[in-house]
Amino acid sequence: MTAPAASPAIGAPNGALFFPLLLLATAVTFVLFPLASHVFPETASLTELTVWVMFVGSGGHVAASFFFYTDREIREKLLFPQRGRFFLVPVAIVLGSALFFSFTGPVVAAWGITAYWVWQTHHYSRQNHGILAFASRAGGVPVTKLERLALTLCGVAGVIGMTTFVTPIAETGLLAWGWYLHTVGLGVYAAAWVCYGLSLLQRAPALDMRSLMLLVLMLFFGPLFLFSDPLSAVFTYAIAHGLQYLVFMGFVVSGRRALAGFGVLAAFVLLGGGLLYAFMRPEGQRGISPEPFFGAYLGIVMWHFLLDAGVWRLSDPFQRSYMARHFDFLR
Amino acid sequence: MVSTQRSQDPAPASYIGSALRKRENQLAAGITLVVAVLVALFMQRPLPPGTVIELAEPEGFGLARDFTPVNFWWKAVSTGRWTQGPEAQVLLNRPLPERGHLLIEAFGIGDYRGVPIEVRAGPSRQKMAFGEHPSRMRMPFANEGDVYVIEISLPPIPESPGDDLHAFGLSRITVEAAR
Repeated sequence: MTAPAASPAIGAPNGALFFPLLLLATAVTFVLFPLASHVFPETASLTELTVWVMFVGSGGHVAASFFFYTDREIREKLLFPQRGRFFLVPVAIVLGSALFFSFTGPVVAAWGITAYWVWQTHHYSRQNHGILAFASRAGGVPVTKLERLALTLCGVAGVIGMTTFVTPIAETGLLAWGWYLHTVGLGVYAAAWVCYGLSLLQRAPALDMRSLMLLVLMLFFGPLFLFSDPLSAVFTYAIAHGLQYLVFMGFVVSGRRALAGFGVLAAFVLLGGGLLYAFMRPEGQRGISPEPFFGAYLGIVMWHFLLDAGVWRLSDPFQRSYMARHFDFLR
Repeated sequence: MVSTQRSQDPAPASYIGSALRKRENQLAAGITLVVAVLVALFMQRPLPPGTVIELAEPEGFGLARDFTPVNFWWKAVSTGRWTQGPEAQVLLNRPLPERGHLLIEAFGIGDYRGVPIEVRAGPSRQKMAFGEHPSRMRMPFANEGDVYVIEISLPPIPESPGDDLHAFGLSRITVEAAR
């Protein structure tokens, strides 16, 4: 994928809509969650809205990625030729994860959850790199090494910083290291901003969409070091990731039969997201052990990680040409 | 999600191998290592006497706190922070001094009103009881300069199986010099 010489695409209809929608998707949780948690904590309507946004941005977006299995072209040219990667390995991960959480003790299970969260945070980081790549392609300005390093460091800071919020840190024995991990994460995040500052010295910042997207991506893991409650500190960016993803998917399904595409996507989000939600919380049904369901739930999300890493790999010719039909600035 | 690998890059042998070969990933690993060492050196310095570990509102930014409220505590209220279960820990960002006193300000309601709870700081431990309103108790401590955690154990109350978790609250802990 080489950068074009000129930068007209950002003003083209597709790019002009895509990037503002990405910003809007990010802003939803970055505004809503701290408001619901800190400013209006007792407001029922805000709490309800938060729950819906979390539903769509978590299980909903994971389920949306399975839309690719309904696309004949993707199936025939990417998924079937790599059956191992896109069918066998994911199914093995789902079953293996269900068995793992069914038969392991609390300490081993805690380490499993921690490893899952590391992968998940890395997955967010990869999407951030992808968004910058898209914005750079649209703006006709390639990503510099310093910018890439800054985003990579943000991702590392995210991985380290989230451990004290969402992993079972008492069971893994990392509790005594809690503050240390948090501070190292903060230090790495500060280093990321130093790299970002140096990248601005390399190339004067411009008031354009690419610069704005890069700034937003730099701020992505910031809540980890600003808030002390998991909703504001972690789920702000975690759900923003999901909403951003739905923007991506919205452009994928838009086309000649956009209405049908959006309908199918909405069905995936609502039905698939609901199914995942039920998997995550089966304890409400009498006599059902939650562990295998929880394990399967995590396995399905890991399937999503694997699927995305393949489908959106634009260095491969097929994926590049497929996505270029949906995102005109990639042409 | 979206790969940023350039098309002219050679096909990677594996995802991890390819990631390790990238210069920015190597640099990121090096920077992380340096930060980790610097933070470790910083965290060797004990908390100075007079440090106040504030658990009540307002919740400060992470930088302003001397502790990490992971897992064990509910959100802060104006008088302090309720424990979530029978065990609670305050993780310190630096170790306690080798000798000194902890001035504990706390409160217990319902079944925990006036019931002794145990406070531990490394090898030092003491039982103390608190009323409905925040009151202060002092405990001496001695250690080898490696205590990063203050632990609190609540006794089981048979009449209260633990459904109502808002039973014991901690307002603040002040580190005092040895007398």
